[in-house]
Amino acid sequence: MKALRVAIVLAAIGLVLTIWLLVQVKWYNFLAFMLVAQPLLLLALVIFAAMLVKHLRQRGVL
Amino acid sequence: MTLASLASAATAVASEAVPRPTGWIGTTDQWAQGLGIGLALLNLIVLGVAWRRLRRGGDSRSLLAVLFYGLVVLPVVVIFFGYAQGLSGMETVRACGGCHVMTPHVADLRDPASEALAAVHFKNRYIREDQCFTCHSDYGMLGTISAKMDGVRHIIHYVTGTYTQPLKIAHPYPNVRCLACHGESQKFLTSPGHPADVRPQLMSGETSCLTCHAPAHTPKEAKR
Repeated sequence: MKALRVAIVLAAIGLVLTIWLLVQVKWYNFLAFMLVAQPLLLLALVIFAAMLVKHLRQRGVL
Repeated sequence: MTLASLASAATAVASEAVPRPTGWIGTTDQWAQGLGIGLALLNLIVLGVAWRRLRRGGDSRSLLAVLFYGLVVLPVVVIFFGYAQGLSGMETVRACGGCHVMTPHVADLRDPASEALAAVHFKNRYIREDQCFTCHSDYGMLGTISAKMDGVRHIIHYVTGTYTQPLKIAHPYPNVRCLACHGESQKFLTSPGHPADVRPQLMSGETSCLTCHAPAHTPKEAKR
């Protein structure tokens, strides 16, 4: 469950950076979106996928 | 400055603004921006709900469903809108002038008294919007991608300070960028400056358009 909390925090940071870009496009927030927000959202997704696989294995689905 | 003079200045600006067509509801970009922000906020709310359910414990299936929307479905959509907004936003003149080193170029572009080629195009609205990007990118999909890559390179040079002043264009300016708009116009074809025997050289790029139409920009000195 701790991993899922980390995933939520990472995704939230990524989303805040994306909102910053959506409000007004500047070169620095576009760079932050490309180099920070996207990897954070991807990392959150990977953590979630790993936890989902673990959960399904525990239940004997996989 | 009094309130009355401020109000009259605002009225003067408003009266010079081009009126909107009937039924104006904004541009596609504005709608995409609003939708993107709305979905990102919705995503944050979904993540908040998931966080609360995590703390409470309970049904893991419903928690996973909420997390699936909050960490997979909505972020993919939000990233799409972020990309769309970011890439189109980076084409604007304001974005190009965002680096201090480009400020003099943009100031010259916007200066009605400037007779530089770029300023003439700007003040006469030969190009309606995204004037820097339009003239500094080739046509077609690859031209756009190449210009975006150049933009990323410019940002890296700016951030790392690895550039020299005065700024110079990296490659000779290709005639095709001028000819794509002007090449088939009557003004170009019938101009005494473009006689039939010279036109093939212009078309092939053997003679640069800027040989006669320079300077493209007349910027004052830039700050690093």
